[in-house]
Amino acid sequence: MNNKTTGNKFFVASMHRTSFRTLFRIFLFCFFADSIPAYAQEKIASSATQIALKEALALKEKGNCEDAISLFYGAYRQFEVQGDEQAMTTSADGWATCLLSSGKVDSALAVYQKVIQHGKKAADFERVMFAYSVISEIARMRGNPQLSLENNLKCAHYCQLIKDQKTYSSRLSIIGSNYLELGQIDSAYSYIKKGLQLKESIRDTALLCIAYDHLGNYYRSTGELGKSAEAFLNALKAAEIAKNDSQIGSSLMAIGSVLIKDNHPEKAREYVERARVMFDTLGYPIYYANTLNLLGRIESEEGREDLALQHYHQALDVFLKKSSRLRVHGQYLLLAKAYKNIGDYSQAWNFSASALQTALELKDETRKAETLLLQGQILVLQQEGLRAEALFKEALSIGSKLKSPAFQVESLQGLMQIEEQRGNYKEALHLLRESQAWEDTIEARKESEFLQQLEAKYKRREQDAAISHLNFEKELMDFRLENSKDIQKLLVVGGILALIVAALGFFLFYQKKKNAALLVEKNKTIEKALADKELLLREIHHRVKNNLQVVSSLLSLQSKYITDPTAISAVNNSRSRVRSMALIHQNLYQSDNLMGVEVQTYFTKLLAELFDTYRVDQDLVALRMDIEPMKLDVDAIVPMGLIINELVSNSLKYAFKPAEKGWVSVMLKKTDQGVFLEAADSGSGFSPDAFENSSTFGFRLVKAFVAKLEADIKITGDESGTKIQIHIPQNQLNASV
Amino acid sequence: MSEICVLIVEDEVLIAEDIANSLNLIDYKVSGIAYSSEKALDMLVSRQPDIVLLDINIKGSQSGIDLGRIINEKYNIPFIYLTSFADKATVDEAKKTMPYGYVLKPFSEMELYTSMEVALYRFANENKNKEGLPGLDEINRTLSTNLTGKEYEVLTDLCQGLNNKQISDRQFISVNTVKTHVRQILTKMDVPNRTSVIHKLSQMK
Repeated sequence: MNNKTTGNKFFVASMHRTSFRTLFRIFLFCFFADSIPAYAQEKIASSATQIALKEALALKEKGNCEDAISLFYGAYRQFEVQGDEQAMTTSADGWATCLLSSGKVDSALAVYQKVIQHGKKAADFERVMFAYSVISEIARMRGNPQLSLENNLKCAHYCQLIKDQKTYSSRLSIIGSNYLELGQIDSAYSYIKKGLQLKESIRDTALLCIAYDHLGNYYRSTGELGKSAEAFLNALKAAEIAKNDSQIGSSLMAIGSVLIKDNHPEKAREYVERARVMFDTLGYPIYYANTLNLLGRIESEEGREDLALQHYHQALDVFLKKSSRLRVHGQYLLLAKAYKNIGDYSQAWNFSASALQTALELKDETRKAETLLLQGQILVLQQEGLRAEALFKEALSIGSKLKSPAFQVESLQGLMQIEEQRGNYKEALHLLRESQAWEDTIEARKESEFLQQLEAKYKRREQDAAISHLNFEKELMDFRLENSKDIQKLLVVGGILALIVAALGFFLFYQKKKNAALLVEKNKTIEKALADKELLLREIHHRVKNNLQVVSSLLSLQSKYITDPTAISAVNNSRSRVRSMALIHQNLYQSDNLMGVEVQTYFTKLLAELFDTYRVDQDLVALRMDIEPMKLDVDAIVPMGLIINELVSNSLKYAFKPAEKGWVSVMLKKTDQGVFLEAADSGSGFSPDAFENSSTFGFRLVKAFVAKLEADIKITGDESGTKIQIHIPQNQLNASV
Repeated sequence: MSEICVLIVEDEVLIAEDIANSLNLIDYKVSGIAYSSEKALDMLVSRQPDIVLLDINIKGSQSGIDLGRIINEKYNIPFIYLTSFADKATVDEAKKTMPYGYVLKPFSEMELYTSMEVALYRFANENKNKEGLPGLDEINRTLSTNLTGKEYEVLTDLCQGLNNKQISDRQFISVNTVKTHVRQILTKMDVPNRTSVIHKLSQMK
């Protein structure tokens, strides 16, 4: 509560210049602070602080830095109590920015450290990055490239973290510049190049121009003036495209300075003059003063010392009005040197005295030593050895304190000159030697630095080589690994496929073999079954034939006991019919083909038996047979056999008188429609009507069989004989005609 | 015409002749012998049988069982299977056609006669009018020439599936007289055979 109250009071105090609305709210809050519940107080405190923060930001926008600073500070303290890291970051950021714009650089730096501290916790990397960049810029401006570099590296890290390519690229360039300032030229070059490439890739001309600027600086420091000028020209082009006037100006200036170094003062003046006009119109006083200095240098190069001095004085005026004491000191020194060069020692002394005073104000030993040396030199030129000696000795002591051999050398040289003037050559020689010794140390140091640099370069190159080698190896490994993975995959897949194919092949082979074996077995079974069936059929036909034979024998036996001739005839007729059927079955089981009967063989046997049965003398009645060889189905041959049996029996019984000569003929022929069967005799014929009306059993059977065969029957008969012709259609014969 | 007409479907000539011979002896008339299924289908129309004797294994494109199915569907006349096949498959197939009898070869004449008598009687009773035989007047109303009282008596017997011999025994008249009466009945009722008489009467209301 105490803290809050303090914060609140602070608000009230600081807000009297802001808005009444906010003031009223804060007032209300303070008034009721003790009578409302704690959580509500917190709420109100929080919202009030947020309002304060907004107010502060608004003030900052308006440029009212002083008030904004106090509001930011109050808000920051309040948030600190609440522990709101994000809000702390925001308020600290605002606070620091305002501090910076009101020139309180050191305070600003301290607050930026807070921004970094809280921003990291709140994960507000953007502000952290910005804070680092500001710190590094300030360090750079204050001539501390090492600190600048450290902060820049951190800044670059956060740039990458928030993926801000633009800032990252410019940070790279600035890091390059830092290295340049630190004299690490290789690192500088690589960073500057890297920054340049990145900027080219993101196509931001403004950033590109800065990158070229850095590149130009790099080449200038390495002494490659042509390249440096080219880089600065590129920077100028980029700046013109980006329409960034200040950048155009600084590029122009940079080109000018390079041209001076390259001994082209006329051209240099052209560029610097343009820069001066530009900075003048744009209102950049410090840059403007810098151009003036540059112009002064050009004039002095060309021997127009008065003009140069004029420029320097103008610049001094600007610096005195607008800039820090540091620059003012530098300008005093510059003027002092310029006056010394033209021999105006009193003026030179005056300016050097001003410079010394500024250096003392700044408490800068280096600058003090520098100034002292200059003053000493001026006094030496004025033949005031005693005063000069004191100054040199002071510079010498500062130099030894700062461990700066350059100061030692210069001081010693100054002392030596004094001794020379005094004619004290021995002393002078001693001092000369001493100064040379110091120079040697400088040389040695330079040399060792150079060696170190060389070594660093070498190591770096080695490292690079090693890295690239490692990279190459890694790539190779990756490639191999990928290859081997591919090969492995291929092998595995191939293997599986091969296995499947093999398994399938084997399976098919096995199936085929099995099937083949099964087929062979089946075939065997079928063949066996067929053979069995044939055997069985033969057996059946045999049995049927035997049974019919038995019936025939039965009838034959029976006839022996009958006396009635009609009865004997009937039994004999029946016997002959049974015989004719038995013959068929005999033929069947004796032939190769169980399905068909060879008609010729059958008819021959049948007719022979009939002649035998009716005891016909073949000398009297001739048998004429004209049977075309053919095989017929049992279903067809049985009726045909029975028909022939009836017809021929009838002829043999009734056609011929005893001892009458004649013939009986049977003919069987294939025709287009089927089979033609003819039975004829030369005996006394009977009329067709007799056949039609005949109710005798024999003729009835013939009619029935003819009907069954769906055959046509035609009977012609007269005294010369009888002819019975039967056409049996093909469809009744079925098989194997 | 006046006798009971039988159609024999049998491709074994001698057996067919034998059956025909025995039937002719006892007052049936064999109106045809078909040696193949095609012939049988012909004769079912041309010979107007009152009953059919069917061999199962016959020549031709259709078997006896196929013919049985056709007779049931188209002709509505009684039929009896005459076959040497008694295996289960054949019997199972045959019984689905609702035959009036199933006689196994070799058969005696007596077996055949009995089976035919039962078949004719069953057929007559299954197909008789539900309200009994219509009265004489009722029948006469549909006819151009009236039946006599005696003829009606013969008709009553005829409708019980009796043959001429049986009717003559019942009516104490000669077979020839029965035949005359039957011929008269068929002519007056304008039908070709006895089965048609039964059909016609069953449809009368």
